[in-house]
Amino acid sequence: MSTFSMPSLGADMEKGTIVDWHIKEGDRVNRGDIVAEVETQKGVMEVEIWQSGMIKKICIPVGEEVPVGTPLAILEQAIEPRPADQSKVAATPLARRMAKEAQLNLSQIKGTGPHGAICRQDVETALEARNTTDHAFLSRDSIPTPKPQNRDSMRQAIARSMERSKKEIPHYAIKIDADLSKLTDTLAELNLRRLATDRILPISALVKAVALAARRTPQVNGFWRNGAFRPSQSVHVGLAISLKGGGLVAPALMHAGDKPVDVLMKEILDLVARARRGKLKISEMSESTITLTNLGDKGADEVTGIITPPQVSLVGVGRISPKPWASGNLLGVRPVATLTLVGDHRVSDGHLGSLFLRDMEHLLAHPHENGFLNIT
Amino acid sequence: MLSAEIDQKVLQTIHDIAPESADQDLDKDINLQEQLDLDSIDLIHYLELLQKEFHVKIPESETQTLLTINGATRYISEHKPH
Repeated sequence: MSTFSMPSLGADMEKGTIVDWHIKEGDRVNRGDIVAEVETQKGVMEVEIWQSGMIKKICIPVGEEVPVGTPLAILEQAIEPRPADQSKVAATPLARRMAKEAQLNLSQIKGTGPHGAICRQDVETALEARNTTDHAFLSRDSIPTPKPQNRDSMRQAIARSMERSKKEIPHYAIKIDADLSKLTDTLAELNLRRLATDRILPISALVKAVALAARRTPQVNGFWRNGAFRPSQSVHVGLAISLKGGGLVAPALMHAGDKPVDVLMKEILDLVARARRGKLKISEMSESTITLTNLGDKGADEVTGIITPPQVSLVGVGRISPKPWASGNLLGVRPVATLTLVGDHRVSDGHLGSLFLRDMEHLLAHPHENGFLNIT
Repeated sequence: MLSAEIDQKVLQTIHDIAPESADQDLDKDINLQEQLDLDSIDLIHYLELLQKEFHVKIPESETQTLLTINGATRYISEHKPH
């Protein structure tokens, strides 16, 4: 037996109200299922369960407000399959010891060392994932999706997060202009052969470029926790989405660098639609390792934003617009966007940040290289 | 389906993606992006909803036509399966 408790959606959350149960007693649930909607002063969030089993009892009815940590339901846990023989999994002695201490199953960790051996960093990544998902915790200042009536409290949550960020993080900002003519031409050509609803917008290429460039400059990708930088092995790009009527959320596009641009486009459309309907999942709100804010086709020319703690960087892309552009000795007009990076000076500096921005610019200016714009 | 019915459903679709449009007197011949705060993702959602509601396929080349209310009503009347 185990309990499913009221999760904390932030350090300042003390209580939450069950708005809806998606399950009833006797139902079987699987790890990752959305089981409830919970309202806090910051908004309504869908809550996932992180254990599989059968719901024995629902302890708290809809409409009741209870403190964080209160058991909401009792779960009869499913019998997990017998773990693989841990001694046969390739791992370094240090990784083996760390996994044992943390009670992690080595066979469920992906190894990135020689011949797929699990090393220290792999265990740390697995621990990081467990810490963010097992307890359905949001990062301290993440901002849940609000229902319309909660926009004021959402603005307060944004205010707290941004105020803390400006006080604690020594920001630096750099920028670079990118010639996007090849990108926009290629996308226009691709889109002519597709239905209007399957159109691929530049945003999907921007997300992919952020993810690939962040792999090469790991100092921009991860978290500042307990006085130290914790790089993330994976790149999950948080996409800043403005909500109708005000407010902003930045849910994650998981493993964005591994996906073709048409797949990313579908995911972006889905994420934006759900963000605006207030249907994001807690896990999507807690796993971004770097954030992208794109002002879109009607926005300003450039944006220098504020980092969302505990992340360590924010990438901004302004409107793509025709600008004078020197190429060799010739001056022409090209579709140009200004890319900005706001970084945490405790972790990186202008030199490293420039490497990141230059990589991103190169990917976008030469989209035919290395299958960057491949579609399924 | 009558043209007036299509027109009404197109307006409802616009309200779904831009709730603020309910309070506005939209000009049926002016591009929706000029009248409302719609980004390119909103436009795809709008076209998706029209496609689903009326069972019409919208090629990329017709996008501009569908960005006015009268253009959308006309296109749907002509292409909707009977």
